[in-house]
Amino acid sequence: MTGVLPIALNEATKALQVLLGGGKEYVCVMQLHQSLPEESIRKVLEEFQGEIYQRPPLRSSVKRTLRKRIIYYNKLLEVKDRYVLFKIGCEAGTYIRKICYDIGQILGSGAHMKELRRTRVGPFTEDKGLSNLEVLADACDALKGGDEGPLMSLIHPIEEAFELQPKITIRDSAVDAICHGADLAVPGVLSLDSSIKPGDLVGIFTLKGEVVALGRALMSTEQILEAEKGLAAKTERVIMKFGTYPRSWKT
Amino acid sequence: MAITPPWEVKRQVVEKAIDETDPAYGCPPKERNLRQSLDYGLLNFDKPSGPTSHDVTAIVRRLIGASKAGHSGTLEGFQLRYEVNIPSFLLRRKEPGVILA
Repeated sequence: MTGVLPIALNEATKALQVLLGGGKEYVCVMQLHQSLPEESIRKVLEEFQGEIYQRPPLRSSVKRTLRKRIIYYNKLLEVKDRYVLFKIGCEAGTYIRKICYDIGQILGSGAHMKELRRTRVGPFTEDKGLSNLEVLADACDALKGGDEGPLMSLIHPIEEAFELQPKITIRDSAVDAICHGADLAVPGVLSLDSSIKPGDLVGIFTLKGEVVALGRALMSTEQILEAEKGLAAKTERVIMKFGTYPRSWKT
Repeated sequence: MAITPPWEVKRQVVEKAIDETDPAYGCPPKERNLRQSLDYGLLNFDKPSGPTSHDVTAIVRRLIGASKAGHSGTLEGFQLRYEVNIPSFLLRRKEPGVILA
């Protein structure tokens, strides 16, 4: 079980919520318990697309009740003897171990997960500045020697975690109020994503492109554009430290 | 039935009002210094086989000397902890990480 594991530091841990709920992509090796023709394997794999029902495996960290999960795609890459290599894009909280087991049941042969590598967590993919223990240890040593370049190049700004989320950009004057936990009111909005629906998780940004908070939309894009007052989004998690921008509301 | 994965959704921005930002406050993400980057930063880490996601996060936290660190979504390990290809000095070290000056 290797692959993409975004690790957030200090204040950035507040943004993890976005990635936890984000889609994932895996490459998986499944071992069948008897050899089967490639065509029948492909057919069953393709059935595991769209909405599926899944009961988490025995050894899991959540309650074992039937859950609904969305599989975006499930592609057969290669079959060799009893080993099946496939790539799967799925919603957060899908157990690939269980998918392998279920596929084995439907095929009639039985199957289990042999190897798993995660290739994507939300916006983070393998080709996007992946670091590992060796590289990080070297970068920390370089820093001790006075060179902060290597470590800087490994760190991604927290804003990247929000790349797939709809965004709302707000006025400087609204920033500190939100940092203190206020909800985002319509007059503070400058620009926004065209497809926001009430209930969506949105990133609230400054004009400089810094993330202020994670919010839950209360209005759709059209409503926000038309309205002159009212609340556009509820602040769910404040990320920026208060006092970064001047306080400009009256008490 | 194909459902578009979130990473293939195209987004567009619409404007409601125009305003300027005061350069005296805040800092664009690209211009952060090391200290600020570490405060508001993520590592896209390649989890090795063996240690749990939790272990890997703890090692990274100690290496960097961050006060907090968290990961997003467990990739199961097989709790053989101290045997698998992690250099032992990373697991044992107690001295504070590089940043805590």
